[in-house]
Amino acid sequence: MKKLHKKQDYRHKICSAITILSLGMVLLFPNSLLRLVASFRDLGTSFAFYFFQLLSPGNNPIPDTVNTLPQWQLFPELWQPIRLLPASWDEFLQFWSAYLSLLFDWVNFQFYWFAISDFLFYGSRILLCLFPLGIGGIMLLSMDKDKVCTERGKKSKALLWFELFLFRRVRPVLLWCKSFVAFVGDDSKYWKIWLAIWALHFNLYSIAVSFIAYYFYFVSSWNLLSLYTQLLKLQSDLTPIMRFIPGMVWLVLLVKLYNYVCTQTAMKTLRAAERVNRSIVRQSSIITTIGGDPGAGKTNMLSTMSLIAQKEHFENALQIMENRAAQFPNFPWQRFRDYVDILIDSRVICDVNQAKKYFKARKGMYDKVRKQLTVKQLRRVLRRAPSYKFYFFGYDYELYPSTYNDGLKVIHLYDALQSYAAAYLIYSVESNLIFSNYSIRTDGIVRSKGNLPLRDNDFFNRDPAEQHLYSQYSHILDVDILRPGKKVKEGNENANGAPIGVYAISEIDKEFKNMNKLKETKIKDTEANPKNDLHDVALMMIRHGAVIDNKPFITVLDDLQRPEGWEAGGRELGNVIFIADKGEMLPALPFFSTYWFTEGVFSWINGKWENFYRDYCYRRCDDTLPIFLARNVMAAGKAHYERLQNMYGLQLLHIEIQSGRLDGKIRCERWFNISFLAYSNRYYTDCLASVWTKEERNTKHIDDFTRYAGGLATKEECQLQNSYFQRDIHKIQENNNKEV
Amino acid sequence: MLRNFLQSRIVKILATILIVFVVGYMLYTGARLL
Repeated sequence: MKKLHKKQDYRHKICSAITILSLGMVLLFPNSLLRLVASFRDLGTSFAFYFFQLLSPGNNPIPDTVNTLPQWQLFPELWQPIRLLPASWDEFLQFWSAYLSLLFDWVNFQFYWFAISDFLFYGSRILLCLFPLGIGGIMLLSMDKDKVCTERGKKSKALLWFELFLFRRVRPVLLWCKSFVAFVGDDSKYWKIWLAIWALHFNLYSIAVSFIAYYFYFVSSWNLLSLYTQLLKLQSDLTPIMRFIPGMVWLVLLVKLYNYVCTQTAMKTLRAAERVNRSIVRQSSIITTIGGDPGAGKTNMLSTMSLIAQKEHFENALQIMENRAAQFPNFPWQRFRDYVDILIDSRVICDVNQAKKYFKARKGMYDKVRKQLTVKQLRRVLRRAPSYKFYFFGYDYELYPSTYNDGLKVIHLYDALQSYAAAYLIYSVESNLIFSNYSIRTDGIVRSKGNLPLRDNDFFNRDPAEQHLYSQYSHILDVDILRPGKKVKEGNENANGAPIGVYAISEIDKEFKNMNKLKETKIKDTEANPKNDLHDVALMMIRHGAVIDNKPFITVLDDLQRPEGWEAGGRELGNVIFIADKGEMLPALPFFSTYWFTEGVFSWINGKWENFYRDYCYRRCDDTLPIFLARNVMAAGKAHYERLQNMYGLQLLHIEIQSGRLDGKIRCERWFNISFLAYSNRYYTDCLASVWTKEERNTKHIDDFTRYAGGLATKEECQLQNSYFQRDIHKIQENNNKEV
Repeated sequence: MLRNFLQSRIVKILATILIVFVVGYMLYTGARLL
């Protein structure tokens, strides 16, 4: 504890020293305080100007000090204003005409070429200076490669020294810097004070105050030309920050800004791609089948579609709630939500129909009381029978209406409550809305401060390091829910309610099959089968159990290899999406990103490196300094480009949509496979690997299986295949031999 | 076909070089005048 205090004191001292040093910098930036005083003076005069302009327009006695450039400067040699703009508007006009004529001047263009040639000349000289270093590095690596070493865990002396330097000298410094940054971050007063002081030094307050001052001046004067003076003042105010921060830091900041622009553009592209996918899901019918060859990406598309459909349901539910709340804006909706929460927690209402029925049953009582009692009388009644408050929720039906006319019909408050409660039932789900026959990871976050919960369904705003905090997996699909007839499990409790949510069924043809495969099964069979379970009736009527305000809150998504493999009764209810063609997965970075060039160069170098390192690992297992450095640099480069590919990866899929009747009328659309959405542990390609899990432990390695002795298989070798064909051939041959 | 060509890596690099060249020329001209 004592040690901890000592450490804290020591870092507090450093922070205090930095604070004092920052304050002392006022000597270096003496103009900032004076400039701030001047900007407050400008604010005062501009406000007075605005006030007088309102009182007597055109006859304003107040001077526009906001339009005068700073006339004085302490240490003018040190803080000489940077010159990015001509000194006045008139000069700017002259500059502009000269600029335009010079822009199309052939001599100027030639000068530009000379400048570029100079740049390339000096650039190539630097490259040539670096060239021997590269050659030396390659030679060092090549020298290491030719030796043979099988001694495990051996490191060269140079590497041991380097590791000592890295871990004993460099690492502690880096760790200290990291801990100091964390310390400053935890104790927010320091960085806030530093920010405040440096904002003063760099005239940021003056800029903000001058902006407000100019706003008052401009809205009353509409003097557009004064805008140029403001730009000049801004240029003058930014001089300290421009001159004080070194060029190298500006370069780093520019690179950071450029990267930010590139990644933000990529994010915009990804969000646009998600919107395209959402439009496909919106246009699809309640039942959608995805078809394609094995490995075409059906399950991937199914998982993504499920997540998008879930997002749609949540957003539609919230929209219904907001629409209903707008119809009765003075109804105490929070009290109502609290009550619905109690009903859901106690499982009084579990599905849409129950929610509707519950409040439908209370409508009569509400009307009866409303017509017989005044609000004052009702309050007295509620004192004796408090449970009746759950009919009124404190709504003053005398002051506010109990009906709403939408131009088509008159809606009763309790009709709105039915819809609101049903929508809230869906919106407030703590888990997720997906039922699937394989596991899909969802990452919806619900934020609540005890009032209306807010759902964060943004797929992109997620940190993989925190995935375990907000992840949850889809519900296990109990297919009996889709069986109104015979069920596999008699009296299945899961199948009592109407289906709501998103049903994702992979390989649906294995579950429901087609008529050819069901030839042997009969409706009268005692066990449940696809003929007597009435699943096709369930699919036909599935919408009816999950409709709120004419919007269905049910989506059935499935995939299969051959659409014909599923009987027409189910398949024809919706659309079939066929994945026709897939593009390459590439980052959605804009064309001006350096990625397209640097990644190409890195891939070329990495190819050479991998060939080299493979050969090195074949010969040696020890470690040397050049190999250590090269391996870590290449690994860092690979990780960087892999992360870009994973975070911004986008793949275009050409899909063909047609009716489930397979009438050949194809609509071609685009679907985007978004790496960040689809591959962040979303589902496993081997999600049904448990099919191959057997009780007996496998003891047969692939090397233990018998191989053919030669190019022609012998009779004994054929029998080892345990094949129907070989068995039949063998039987026929045996019979023939007996007959002979 | 044309779409694939326009989205190819080489076209992206060439377009970037062209933009840097043009913007560079505009800035160079402005700097010469100032």
